[in-house]
Amino acid sequence: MTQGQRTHPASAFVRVWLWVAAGLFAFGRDLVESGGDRSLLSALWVGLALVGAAALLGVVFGYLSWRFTRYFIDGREIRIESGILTRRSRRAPYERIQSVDIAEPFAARIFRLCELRIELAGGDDSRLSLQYLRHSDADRLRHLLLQRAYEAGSQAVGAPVAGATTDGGSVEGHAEGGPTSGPALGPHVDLSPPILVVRPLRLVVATLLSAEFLVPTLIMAALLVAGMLFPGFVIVGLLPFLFWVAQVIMSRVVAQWDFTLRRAPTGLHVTRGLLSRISQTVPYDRVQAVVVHQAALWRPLHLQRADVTVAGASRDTDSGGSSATLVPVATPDEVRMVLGELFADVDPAVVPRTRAPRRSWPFAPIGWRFRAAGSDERAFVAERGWVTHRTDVVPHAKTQSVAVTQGPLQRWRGVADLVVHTPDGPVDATGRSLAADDVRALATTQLARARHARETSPSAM
Amino acid sequence: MDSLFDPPAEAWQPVSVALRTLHRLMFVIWIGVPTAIACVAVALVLQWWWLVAVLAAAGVAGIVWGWFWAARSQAAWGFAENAEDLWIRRGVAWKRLVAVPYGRVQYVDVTAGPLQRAYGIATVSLHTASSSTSAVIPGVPADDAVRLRDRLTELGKTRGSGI
Repeated sequence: MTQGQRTHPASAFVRVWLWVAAGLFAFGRDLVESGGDRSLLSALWVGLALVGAAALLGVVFGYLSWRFTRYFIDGREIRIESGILTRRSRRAPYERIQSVDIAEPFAARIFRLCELRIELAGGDDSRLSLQYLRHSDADRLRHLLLQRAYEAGSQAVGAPVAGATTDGGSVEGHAEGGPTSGPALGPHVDLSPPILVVRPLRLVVATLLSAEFLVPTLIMAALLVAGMLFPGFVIVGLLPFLFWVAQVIMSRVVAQWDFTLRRAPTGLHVTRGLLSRISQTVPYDRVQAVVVHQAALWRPLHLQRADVTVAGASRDTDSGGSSATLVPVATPDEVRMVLGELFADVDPAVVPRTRAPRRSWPFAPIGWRFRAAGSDERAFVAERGWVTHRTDVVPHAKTQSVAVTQGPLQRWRGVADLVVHTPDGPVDATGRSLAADDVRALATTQLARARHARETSPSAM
Repeated sequence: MDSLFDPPAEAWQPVSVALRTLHRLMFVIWIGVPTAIACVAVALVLQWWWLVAVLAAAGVAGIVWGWFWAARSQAAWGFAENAEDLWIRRGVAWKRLVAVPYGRVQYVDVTAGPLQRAYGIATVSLHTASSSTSAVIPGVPADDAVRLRDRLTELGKTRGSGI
C-alpha cells in the first residue's frame, strides 16, 4: 500500500463543537459588554452570526485537516502524516508497538466513529492516534497492526496467537454480534468473556460514600447553612467546591461507567466510560505493584478499590488520571480474584504481618492499630490508615530498593519506617512506625526474597 | 537502638573528610555574607545597634552549629558494598538507610561541581526504576568515584533483570 489512506470524511465535523463553543463564548462576552443596549432581535442576530461564522470556520478547518491527513502502512511501520501548514509525520515501527486500542470520545460517538490509539514502547512520543475511523475500519486496522507487531517480535499486548484470528470468522462477523460477544459489547471488542463487571449502581453508591465526594459536599453544605443563618455571610468560593465535586463525579463515575475487565493474551483488558468509551490494556509483565483502598464508609458495604502501578504507562489524560485504576469498586473476593490474575499465588490477606507497637501511638493516635507490614514467599504487604485503609502489595520480583528511615522522635520511641521502592505510581509500600528491632530484619528478609525472586523468574521486558 | 543502622558486613566506608570542609565553607558563605550585609545595612540605615547585635549573634550561632553539624554529617555518611547490594547510610537526626540491589541499578551518575572538583571529591548517585530510591553518596574521592561507578555498572549488567 504505497498510496496513503484517509480517515473518515466525517472526522471534519467531530471537532466543530469546539468552534461552536468558542463562538458561543464570544457571543456571551459580547452580550455582557453591550449590556441592555441591544434589542432581543438584534442580539439574536449577532449570536447567530457569531456562532454560524464559528461553525463555518470549524468545518473549513476540519475539512482541511482531514484532507491533509493520511496514513501509510508499509513493510516496517505505520506512518501518519498530518498538518495543514506545518507537516507532521509520526511513525510507529511494528516492533515498538506496545498496544493498539480503540477509544470512542463522546463527540466521535455521535458520528459513530472511533479513534485508534497506538502505544509505543520507550521514548516520550509514546502514543499515536488516528482520528477518526469507522468501527469496522478501526477493527481491521487494529488486527492488522497487532499481527504485524507480533510478527516483528514486539511484546504487543493482545497480539493474536495462532488460531485466534480464525475465531468467529472475519471482523465483520463480529460486528454483527458474534457468539463471543457479551452484554453491551462494542463490535470491536472481541476478547474473552468478562471476568469482572462493575454495576453502575454500585459505582454511584460507592462514589457518593467516598471521602473525595463527601468532603467537598459537606463543605458546600456548611457554607450554604452559614449563608442562610447569618445573612451578612457572603458565600464566596462555593464555585471551586462545585468544580471539585464535578471533577470527582467525572473521573470516578462517568469515566469508570460500566467498567469491564477481560482476560487478554498478555494483559487485562479494560473497557470503561459513559460518554467517551475507552479501552485499555494492563500488561501482565509491566504491572509493578497494587494498592487496595478501603474508605471508612465502604467497610460496612465490603467494598474496595484497587489501583496499579504500571511501568512506563503513558498518562491517560482524557479521564483525569484514572488509567491507574485497576478496579474502581468491588468486593474483597473480586479484588482478590483480579490480584490473582496479575500475580500468581498472591493473597494479601494471608501474608504474615508485623504490627506497629503500642509505643508508636504519638505518631498516629488512632491509626497506629492499623499499621503493619510483612511478607511471605510471594509478596511484601504494607498497610496503614483508619479513615481510608490502604494495603500496598509488591511482589518480590518487582522490588527495586529497600530503605529504612528514622527521625529523632521515632528514635526516642524506638520505631522506624520501612519502605519498599517501586516505580512511580499510586503504590507507596511503606510500613510506618514499626518496632526498630523488627525493621532491620524485615529489610534484610525483603532483600533476600527479592533477590531470590529475580533469580528464579525469567527476566521480562 | 543503633543496631538498626549498623553496616551489613564489617564497617561503613566513610566519605572523604573534604566533604566536611566543603560544608563548612558553604555555611560560612551562605550565612556569613548575608548576615554581614544585613548588619551593615541596619547599622547604616536604622542604627538600631541592638538589632545588629542580634543579627550578628544569630549569624555566629548558625555558623558554629553548621561547623559541628558538618562534622557529624560527614561521619554519618557511609556506604558498604555487599555481595548482592549496595547499602548507603546517611543522616544525623533524620537517619536513612537504603539498600540497592546491583541487579536493579539502571545507571550510575558521577557529578562534581567546581567546588567539589577543587577538593577532589565527587557525588555518586545510583538510579533505579523508582525515583524515590535516592541513593546518593557525596564526597567520594574522584578516582574512587569513577572506580565505584564502573564496578556498579558492571555488576548491574551481569546481575541485571528487566522491570
